[in-house]
Amino acid sequence: MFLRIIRRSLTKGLKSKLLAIIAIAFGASLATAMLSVSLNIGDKVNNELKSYGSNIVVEPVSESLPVKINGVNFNPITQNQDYIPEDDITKIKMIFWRHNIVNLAPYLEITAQLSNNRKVAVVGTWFDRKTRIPTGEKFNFGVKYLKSWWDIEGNWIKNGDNKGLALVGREIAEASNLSPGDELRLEFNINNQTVTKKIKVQGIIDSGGEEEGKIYLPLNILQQITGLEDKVAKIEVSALTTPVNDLARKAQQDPNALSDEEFEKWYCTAYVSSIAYQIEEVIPDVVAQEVRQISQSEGVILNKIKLLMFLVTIAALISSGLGISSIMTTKVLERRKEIGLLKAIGSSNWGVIALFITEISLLGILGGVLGYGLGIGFANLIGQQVFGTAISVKLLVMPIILILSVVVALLGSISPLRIALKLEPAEVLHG
Amino acid sequence: MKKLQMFLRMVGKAFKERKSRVAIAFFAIVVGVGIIASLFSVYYDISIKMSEELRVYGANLVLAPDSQTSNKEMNIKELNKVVNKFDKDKLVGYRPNLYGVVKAKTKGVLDVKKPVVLVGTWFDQVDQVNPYWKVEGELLANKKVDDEVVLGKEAAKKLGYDIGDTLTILSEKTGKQKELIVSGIITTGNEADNQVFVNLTLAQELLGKTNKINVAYFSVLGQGLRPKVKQINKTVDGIELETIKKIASSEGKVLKKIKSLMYLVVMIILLSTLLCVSTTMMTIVTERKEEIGLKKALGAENSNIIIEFLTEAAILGGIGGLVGYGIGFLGAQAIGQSVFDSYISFRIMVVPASFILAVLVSCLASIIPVRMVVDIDPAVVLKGE
Repeated sequence: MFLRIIRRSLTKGLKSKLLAIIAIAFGASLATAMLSVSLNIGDKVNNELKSYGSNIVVEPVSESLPVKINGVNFNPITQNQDYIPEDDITKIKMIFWRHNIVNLAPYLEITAQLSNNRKVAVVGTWFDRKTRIPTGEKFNFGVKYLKSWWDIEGNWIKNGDNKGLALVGREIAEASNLSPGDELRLEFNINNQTVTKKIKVQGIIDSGGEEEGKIYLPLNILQQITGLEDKVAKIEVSALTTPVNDLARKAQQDPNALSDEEFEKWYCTAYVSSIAYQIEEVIPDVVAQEVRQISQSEGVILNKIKLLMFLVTIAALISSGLGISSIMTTKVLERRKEIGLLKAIGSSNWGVIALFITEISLLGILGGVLGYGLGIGFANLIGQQVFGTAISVKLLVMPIILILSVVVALLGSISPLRIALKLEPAEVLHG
Repeated sequence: MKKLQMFLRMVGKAFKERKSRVAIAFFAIVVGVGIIASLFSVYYDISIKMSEELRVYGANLVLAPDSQTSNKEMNIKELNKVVNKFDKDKLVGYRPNLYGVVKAKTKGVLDVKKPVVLVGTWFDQVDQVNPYWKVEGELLANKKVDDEVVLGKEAAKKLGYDIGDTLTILSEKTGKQKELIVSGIITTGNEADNQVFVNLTLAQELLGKTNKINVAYFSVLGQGLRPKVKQINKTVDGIELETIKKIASSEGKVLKKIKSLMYLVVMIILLSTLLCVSTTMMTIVTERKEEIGLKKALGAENSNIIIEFLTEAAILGGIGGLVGYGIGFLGAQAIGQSVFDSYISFRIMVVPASFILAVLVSCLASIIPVRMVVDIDPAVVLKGE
């Protein structure tokens, strides 16, 4: 009998319940969209913040103190500098958090003289280099991706273009009156011998930073000139990281001071310090340092945006909860007559309550499922519009939405149900 | 006159006699408008707030002598000229640097001197211009302290000094020598780690470059700094002010994303909230079809009924909208305080907007069901089931 009433009410009375289902579906879709976006926002914004450039710098362990102003070496004594073997670079893509390594670029820097006797820093690097890592995967690494803010007048250098091309900083270009296509003579002092090299300006770098006072060559060219084959002096790495917390701060002081359990937790979280630690593990005799300007600021901004989205999501949940519960209130109030009739033919209060709870739960689930589907659509609309990528859907959202819709629908029905049950059947039924 | 009295009485009674229904609709409007108003207030402020937050990345403008100046030095007067061009409340901070190579004695008995880069600067500006520096110990208390020094982490390690030690530096150019107490050690992760920092005036004295600086870094609020920078470059001679693209262009990108994210989110919440509010209004009006039938049977015109219902809806929406705005403003402050540690500014625009929105939605939501019922023959509605 109970089941028949329910079935009837859902088939015959479906039309009148359509509005309730639609309202629940809308509420649930809003909640789904906001929860999905909110759970995904950290990753998305983290990716956006990568446009600020590298957050880890890898350099060889060195006893000497560099004496450089804007890249130009002022150390009167030429010391034996330490280098990192070029072959070791790809090892960075082999660490535990390898998927968080977004991009990297190696540098080799040497001071040269222009024809007007001006000293400049000449940097060898990867511009846009297809690199195969030991697992066989291929990646495009280089400053083109790492320094997204560089404006190049002229063209980028493609790697493999070994025709003596260079990118020149804007400041040098202006001082020497150079434009793309011009030739430039560089004098290097290699082991007390002057080596002259002619290069062609492929592009001019406008960056508003120290790069404007430097000249960039493909790494292998500079290695040949200087005789430093297979050697680099610095690697910049851009990695996706988790904002620093107390554990990460403790680890930063001294990773060895952590207990085994803490160490494991720290090692398996993508803190900038644990990624730096893992880079030091795979490449011998290097120090991997976090660039605090990027890594610290990243954490601050990320936490702010997460908190903002969390609060907005709560607002959205309240709004959808409100919609669902108020529609349920009116729907139950509408059915006072039915409740009166049920009581008049002998149903107990509990019987009526059980009937309504079952019915409302069914409505809640139906609306919730519909709303979930719709909400995923909304979430992806936001993802595509704002970030150009889809929002990854977390399975966790589905049960939350179903429970939310059912619970809120029931909550909204409590007070009208109480009103309706208090009424005398005769009062409601007399018409 | 009588008619108006009757009309008012009907509207009054409609509220009084149906308290629970009116309360439901009112509640829906208040909460709905509250959420919309608070999100819009936050949305209008998001650019300013986020751009303030993004200043944690530090300086976004750099001032240097123009490329005609051969020795790369400028007078500190030029810096003041540029500073005066900015609004006080837009300029977060600015910090000049003078570089020079000096010799520092390494710690120990042996008299070994190593060359290091000496930087003269203003320490009171570090918090504004380089908020990401990690400082152990203390930075120099004011611009007059001339017997203390701050070391970069690597410089401290490789020269062998710690906080409290005394370091002797010697400028070969001027022959001046100075004993300095290490007051702090900074960690930055960039080349500042290899450098030695003293107050600007002391560096100028040691290097023999009175009133000279090499560069100055500015942290300035606001988007679209380019025209301002161009204008300053035109009016002040011998200098070149430039945006640090790494910071400025990335900031623009990130701000744009966040703004469009908030826009979409607010729009979706707006839409769905409006739908929820209007469905509530609709069901409440639909319930009253018997009343409408009765009125028609007593001789009311269609237009009378529509006007009556519209008045009811407008009153409900108007009051609900204002109360909702109040709650929304508080909600916006709650968000502003917890996320940005500052108040969301009051925008007069949002008040009439919430009011009109609430009135419009409640009127529209009640007019649709009323129109459906109005055309029905009263007998059909009244005969009952």
